Amino acid sequence: MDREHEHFLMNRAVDGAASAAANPEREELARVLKADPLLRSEFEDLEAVHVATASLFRQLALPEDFSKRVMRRIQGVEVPADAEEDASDGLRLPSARPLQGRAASVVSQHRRRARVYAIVAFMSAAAALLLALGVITGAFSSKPEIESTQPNTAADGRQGVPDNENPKPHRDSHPQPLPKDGEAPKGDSLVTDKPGPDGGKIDPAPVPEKRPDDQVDKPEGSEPEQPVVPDEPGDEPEAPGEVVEDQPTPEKVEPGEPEPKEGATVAGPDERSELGHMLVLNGRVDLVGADGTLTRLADDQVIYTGDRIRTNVNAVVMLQLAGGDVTLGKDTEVSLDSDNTLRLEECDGKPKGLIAVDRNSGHNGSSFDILCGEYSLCLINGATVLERKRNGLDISKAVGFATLTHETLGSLVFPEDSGYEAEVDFGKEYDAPKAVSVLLPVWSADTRSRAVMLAIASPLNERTFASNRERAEVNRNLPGKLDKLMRYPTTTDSVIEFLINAIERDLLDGFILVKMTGEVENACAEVTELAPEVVCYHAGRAALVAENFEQWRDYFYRLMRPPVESKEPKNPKQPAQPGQPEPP
Amino acid sequence: MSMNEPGLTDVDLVSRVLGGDSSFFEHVVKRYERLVYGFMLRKISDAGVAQDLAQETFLIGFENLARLKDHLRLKSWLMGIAGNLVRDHYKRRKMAGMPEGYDPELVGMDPLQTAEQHERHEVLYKALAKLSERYRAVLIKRYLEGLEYPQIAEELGLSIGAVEVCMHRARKSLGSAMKELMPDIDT
Repeated sequence: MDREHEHFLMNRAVDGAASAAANPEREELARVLKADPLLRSEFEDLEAVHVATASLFRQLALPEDFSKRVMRRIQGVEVPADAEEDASDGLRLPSARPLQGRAASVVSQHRRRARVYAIVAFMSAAAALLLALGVITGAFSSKPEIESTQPNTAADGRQGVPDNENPKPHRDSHPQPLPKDGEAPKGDSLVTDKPGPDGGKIDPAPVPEKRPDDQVDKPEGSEPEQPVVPDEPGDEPEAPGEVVEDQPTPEKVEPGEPEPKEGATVAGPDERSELGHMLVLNGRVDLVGADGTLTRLADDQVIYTGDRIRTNVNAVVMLQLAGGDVTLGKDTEVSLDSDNTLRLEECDGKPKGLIAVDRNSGHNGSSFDILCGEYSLCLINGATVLERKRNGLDISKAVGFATLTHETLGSLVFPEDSGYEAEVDFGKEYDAPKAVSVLLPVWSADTRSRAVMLAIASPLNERTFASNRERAEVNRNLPGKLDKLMRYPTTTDSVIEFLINAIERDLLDGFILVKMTGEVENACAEVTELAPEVVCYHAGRAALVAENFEQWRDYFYRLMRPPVESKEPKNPKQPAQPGQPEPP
Repeated sequence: MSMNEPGLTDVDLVSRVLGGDSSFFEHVVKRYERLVYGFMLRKISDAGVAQDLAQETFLIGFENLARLKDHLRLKSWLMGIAGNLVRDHYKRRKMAGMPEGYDPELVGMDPLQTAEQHERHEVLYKALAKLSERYRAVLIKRYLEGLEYPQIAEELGLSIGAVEVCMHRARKSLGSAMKELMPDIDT
């Protein structure tokens, strides 16, 4: 019996009711433990850890009266019956809960600092205005400081890229306060996409105003591990609860307090939040300004809430957001509402666009939403490609769970198995998604491959290779193998897990690692009775125990092989021998 | 009125609370307290702070319940609040000059515990804090939230096998840490 199977039996036995361990498994384990003293010792250690862990978590458990404590604090708190006055940003969750102790002193220090910054910023802005006026009236010969029509500078201060020069990314450029929020998408109230008065804070769980009652987001009980996290990991506090910190917002200001002035470091009305990074893999991508101007963006740029990005005819762009990895294909224009919501716009007035979204367990939020007009594609996990056409949407759900929702047409649920497609005509009832063999487009697979390489970069760096040649083999050839593998409808999680298992197995060298990846891709193509996700899972399991490539491949294919049923009859009829009675 | 109303949906509960019967919010708390607290514990690993922030999550949820337009998304909404609180917690620490990492301490001591048990818990608690978030998530969902493997797999977006592997590795890591920090520990 292989070690991995033994480990599974042991853990299942330790978990008891948590597993499907039935008596046959326990008996099998008992036999194995009896025969292997080392394994028995390992099992005893495991049991001890389990007992200690269970004991620890009992201590960590919430007190029995937790709900009562919450209710005691709630006593006397009025639930606002009408949120109409806050409708403009009704999705935010401010609170002016008083702070205590050290937190209060820290907050007050930062408040004072913020006010100083605000005053300085106001004076700077006044000086800039005077300068601009001076230029306009001809009093000065210097160029205006604020120039929103320079071809290479975005309105928010980000450095654009001249066509013929090397890009100079301003990764850390802090956006200047926008003069206005004229580009906030209108009409569709699925997401409050206007930056709030404090600069882009959006409800942690963006909520469509109208959803059909039969909306199916997820099966009941299958909740996200991580909550929906609104836009930014940036400097602005997200502001539920007592958080006021260094950046008070008008929403949090108590009655009677002056509103903080706008400034470069104060969360003013037009300050936006950092959402993530953009990587340009091919082609050109522009930032579409409020006035329609295009500013070419360099590779590895920070992207912010409210950014509207357009790709050109041969572009492939990867957006690394907290909510998921998004790939934009050619001729695609999107507005970034938050780090897990984006809006697919018409590209330069034409109804087209290609988006691929990849979500794995490392991404924040309960889902990733792509909005297109009245439609909302919600990806809970896995990978999906969406193409906008003149008359509708084509959706290929490679793997994972997704739903398409329309305000009045209801929801279309893509089952969790691999490979479903749907063609949706605008304004028409949906047909059920068709089960098809989905191969992700090359442009999407390339970015998924890159995401996997990023995820395994750390264990790969920590791994000791026997020679530089071995490491070079991995660096040179593994990405190419991954490019092919990631076309298959498998989650990035399963591939990452397989690779990490292999990387951590010192007996499997770098050459074997590359070969294994290629073999997994072959298996995805040939073993059609299993979903690629499952194939990758078996590859990972085999990697846990193999000592060389042949062992790994042998175990890998054995794991994928279906159990063989005996075809011999239980009581084969023997022909009667001469002189003997016939058998019954 | 029974405080145990499993038949009420989130929509019903929110409607009742907004209709003026705030006592129904206790059902909301009971329904999601383990989930919220488990999340906090995964992110913060300091049980005392995690409990405080879990409480805070529900308080803020209650105060702002009228802003929740889609009552079906109550759970996601609460988890969003929890996520914000975690982020703000770390921001505050950073601004207050506290170190990036943390030295978690177990909250309180069960008076019935022996000194050795407490020491073991301390060691295990610190080892738990050092685990990767995925391993920690699997342990918390199993031991704290009491979920079965298929549920854990579904919630974490993993296969059941992957959950099993994570659990095994997590336990091994904890065991190694215990042996390393307490070589004389009698397991």
